[in-house]
Amino acid sequence: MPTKNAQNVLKASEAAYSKLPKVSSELLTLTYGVFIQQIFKTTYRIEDVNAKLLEIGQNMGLRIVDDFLSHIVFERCSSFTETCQILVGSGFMYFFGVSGTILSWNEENSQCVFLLKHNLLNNFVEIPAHLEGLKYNNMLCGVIKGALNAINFKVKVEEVESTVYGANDDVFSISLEELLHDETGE
Amino acid sequence: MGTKYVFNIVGKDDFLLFSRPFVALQDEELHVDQFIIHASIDSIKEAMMCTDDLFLKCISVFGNSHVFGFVGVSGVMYILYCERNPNDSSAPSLSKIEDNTRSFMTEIHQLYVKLLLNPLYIPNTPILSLSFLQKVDQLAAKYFS
Repeated sequence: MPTKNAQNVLKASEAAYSKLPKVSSELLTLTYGVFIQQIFKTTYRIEDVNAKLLEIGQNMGLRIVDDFLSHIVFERCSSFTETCQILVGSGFMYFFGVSGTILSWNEENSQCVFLLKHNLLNNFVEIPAHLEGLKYNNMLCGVIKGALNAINFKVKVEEVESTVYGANDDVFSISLEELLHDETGE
Repeated sequence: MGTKYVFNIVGKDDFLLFSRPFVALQDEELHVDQFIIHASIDSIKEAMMCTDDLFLKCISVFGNSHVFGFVGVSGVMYILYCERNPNDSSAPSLSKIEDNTRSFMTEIHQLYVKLLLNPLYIPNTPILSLSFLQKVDQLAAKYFS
C-alpha cells in the first residue's frame, strides 16, 4: 500500500532518527503530564485545556514541517494519501521514534484512521475522575493539523481511542476538509 | 468463619489513602479495625527505625488479630490487619500468613510505584483509580484465599 516514495522516506527518517541525541522517555512523559496539569490549573475547564493543547500543537506543527523537510529530501507527493502516509510513517519516526500505521481510508480517500503503538507520552497515564473528557493526545493532533495546514491542507484531526482511557493503542483520524490555495498579498 | 483481612495504605502524613476489606464486614467491626490500624501507625514508625528491611513483619498483636506493616522508601505505609479464628483448622498458620503478606506487599509496592508514575495522580491524595482497585483485588485473591 505505501508508495515507493513513502518507503524511501521511512528508511531515511529511521536513519536520521538514530543519529539524533536522545532523552529519557520518563522525563518526557512526566513533563508532559505536569504541563497538562498546569494548564488545567489556569482555567479548571476541560474544554479550555483541550483547545489550548490543540493550539500549542498547531504552533509546533507549523515549524516542525520545515524542520522535517530540511533534513529529509524526497520527491513531491502526488496525492493526499501519499502525504498522510509519509506524515504518519516517517514524520512520527523522525520526531518520536515510533512509526504510525494507517489502518483504513474512506471511499473518497479524504479521511484516514491511523494507529500509534507505544506512544510514550501516555506511559502509565490514567485519567482520574475529575479530568474526565480530557483529550490527552490533543497536542499530537494539533501538531498534525498545524503541519498539514502549513502545506495547504485544511484538516480535522481527532483522537478516536486512547490508552489513557483504557484502550490498547492510540488511534487517530485525519479528515481532509478543504485544500487551501496560496494567497498572494493584495 | 475464615480469616479476615483488612488492607490499608497510609501516606507519610498519616493520611489514609486507600482502604480495602477483603471480606464482608459488619458496621461495628469496621470501626474497631480502623482504630487498631491507626494505633499501629505509631508502632510502625518505631519498627521502621530498627530494621533495614522494607517489610516490618508483625508489628502488633491483639489477641487473635495481627497487624503487618510494610514501609515504602518515601514514607508510605501498607498495613494489613489480619484476624484469625483459632478454632478453624483449615486456616493458614501465622508463618504462612507472614510469607504471603510479604509477597503481597512487595507486589502492591510495584503497583503503587506505577501509580506514582502517572503524572495526573497527585501524591498523598486518596487513591480512586478503578484499575488500581481491581489489581489489588486480584492480588488479594491470589495470596489470601
